[in-house]
Amino acid sequence: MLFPTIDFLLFFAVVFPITWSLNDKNTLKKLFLVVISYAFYACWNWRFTFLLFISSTGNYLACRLLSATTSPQRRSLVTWVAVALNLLGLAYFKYFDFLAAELTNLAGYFGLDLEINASEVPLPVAISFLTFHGLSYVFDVSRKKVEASKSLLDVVLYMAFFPHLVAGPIVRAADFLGQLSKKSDPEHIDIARSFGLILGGLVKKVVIASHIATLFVDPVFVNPSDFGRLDLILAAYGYAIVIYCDFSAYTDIAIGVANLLGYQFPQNFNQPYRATSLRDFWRRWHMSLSSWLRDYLYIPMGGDRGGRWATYRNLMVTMLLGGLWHGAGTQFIIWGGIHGGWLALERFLKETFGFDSSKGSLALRLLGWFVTFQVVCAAWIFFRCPSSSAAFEYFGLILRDSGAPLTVTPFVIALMLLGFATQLTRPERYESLIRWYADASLGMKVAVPSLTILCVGVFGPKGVAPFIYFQF
Amino acid sequence: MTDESEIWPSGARVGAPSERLAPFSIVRARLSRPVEVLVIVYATMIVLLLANPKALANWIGDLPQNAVTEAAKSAADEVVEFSAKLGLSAPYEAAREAFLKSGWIKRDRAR
Repeated sequence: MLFPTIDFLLFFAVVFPITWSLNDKNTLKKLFLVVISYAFYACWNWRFTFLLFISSTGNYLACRLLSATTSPQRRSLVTWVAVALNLLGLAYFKYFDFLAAELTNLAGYFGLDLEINASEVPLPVAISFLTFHGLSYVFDVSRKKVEASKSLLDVVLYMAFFPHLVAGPIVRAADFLGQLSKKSDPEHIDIARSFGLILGGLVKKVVIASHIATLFVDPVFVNPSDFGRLDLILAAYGYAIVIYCDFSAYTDIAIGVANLLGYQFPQNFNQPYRATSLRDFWRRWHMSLSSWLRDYLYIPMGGDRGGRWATYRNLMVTMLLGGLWHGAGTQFIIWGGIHGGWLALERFLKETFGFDSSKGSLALRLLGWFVTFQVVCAAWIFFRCPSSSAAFEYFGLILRDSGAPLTVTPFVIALMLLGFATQLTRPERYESLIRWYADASLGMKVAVPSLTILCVGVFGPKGVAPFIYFQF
Repeated sequence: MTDESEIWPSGARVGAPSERLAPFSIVRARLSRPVEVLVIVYATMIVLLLANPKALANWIGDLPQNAVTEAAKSAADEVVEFSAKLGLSAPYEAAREAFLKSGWIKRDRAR
C-alpha cells in the first residue's frame, strides 16, 4: 500500500478515528496500531509478517536478558549475539546472492569450479530499516541509554509502526518507547505542519519525481548510449532531484501521518542540496541514517579520537558500510567510497590548511556549494546505475559524446527547476505558510488539501511507482 | 561526524504546535485537534469524490468482483452521474484533458 493512493487515504480515514477513540485505553490503542501495521506490511507479502514478529520478539528477549544481566562480559556476549542475529537475517535476505556471485567469480579466477546456488528468496520490503531499528534498540539498552521495555507490545509496535516501517525515518527506541508509555496528548498534533508535510510530499513524489523519472531519467539510465552528452549530464542532475523528491516525500508523509496519530518522528531532510560541504550535506540528507551511522559505527570505531589517519579510516569505513547497506553491489560500495573519501579530504584540508568551504566569504561558500553538488551528483550516477561497470560506461559516454540530439523537454526542465526550488526556498517561507494555514478558517483548511490533491491528479502520471527506498 | 544538536535541529523532535486560535472563530474554539483533523480529512474526501468521482469508480472497478464491490461500483457510478449533472466534475476533467493533450508528458519529444 503506497502513501499516494486511494487505498491509503481510505486506510487512514478508518485508522485515524479509531486510534484517537482508543486514546484513553492505551494498551488497546497500541494493540490496534500493531494489528493495522501488520496488515499494512502484509499488503506486500504476508509471509514476511512472521519475520517482522520474530525480529521484534528476538530483540525484546535480548534486551530483557540484557537488563537482567549485571556482568559486563555477559552483557557484551548478549549484545553481540543479538547484533549478529539481526545482521544474519539482513545478510541472508539481502547479501546472500551477491556474496555467492562474488565468491563464484573469485573461485573462477583461481581456477576453482565453485557453484553456489542463488537463494531465490524475495527481498522482504524494509528489511534494512527493520534491522536498523532492532540494532538501535539493542545498542541503546546495552549502553543503558534506554531501559529495556517490559512490554512486548511496545517493542513490537516500535519495530512495526506503519508510518516508518517501510522506508524510515529511523526512529530511536529512546525517542519512541517513551511516547508509548502514556496516552497521546491531542495538543501535540501540529495540524498545519502535518498537512504541509503530507501535501508537500504528494507533490514532490507524484508530480515532480514521477514525471522526471519516467519521462527522462529512467530512459537515459536504461540506454545511455542512445543519448548525447548534455542529456546524460542533465539526467544525472535529474536523478539527484528525483531521489530527493521521492525519498523526502516518503519520510515527510510518514512524519506527518505519525504526528496526526499522536506520535513524533525526527526530521529526516533539511534542504540537502544547499549544503556547502559534504559534511554539511550529511547533516541535511537522511539525517536519521547519518546520525545512526555516527552513533553506532563511527564513534564506536573511535570517531576522531585516534588521531588524523584513524579518523580518515573511520570515515571511510563508515561510508563504505553505509554504501553497502543501500544494496548488494559494487556500485553502492563505490558510492560510499566517494562520500567517505571526500569527507576525509575535507577533513584533511580543514586540519592542514584551515580550509572550510561551509565557513567564510560568500564566494567561498558558493564555490563549496558548487563543488559539493557536483560530487554528490557524480556519486548518484553509481547509485542509479545497475552495476559499477554501467556507471563507468556512463561516465565514458559523457566524455565521448555520441552527438545524439537533445531529448530533454521543457516540461522536464521546468520540473527539475521546481524540484531544485524546494532547496533554495528559505525555511521562513515554509514557516509563514504553515502559520497562515494554522490560522485559516476550517473551510480554507479543507480547500487547501482538496485543491492540492486535485492539482496532483491533474498534473500527475497515471499510477504511482513505488518509492525508490522501498528496495533498501 | 556531527554532534547531536546539529543533527536534531531544535523543535524537530517534538512537534511544537504552531497553531493559534483564529479570532472570532466559534467552530475552531469548539473542536479538539483530532476532531478538526477528522473534519478536514472527511470533508476533503467528499470534495474529491464530487470533483473527481471517476477516480473512486475506477478504483472500485479494479478490485476483485463480488457482491460488495458490485454494490459499491453501482453507488460510485451514481455519484459520477450526480456530479456530472451538477457540473462538479467538469473543471477537473477539462483540466486533466488539457494537460494530457498538451503533449508535455510525451517521451522523447525531440526524436
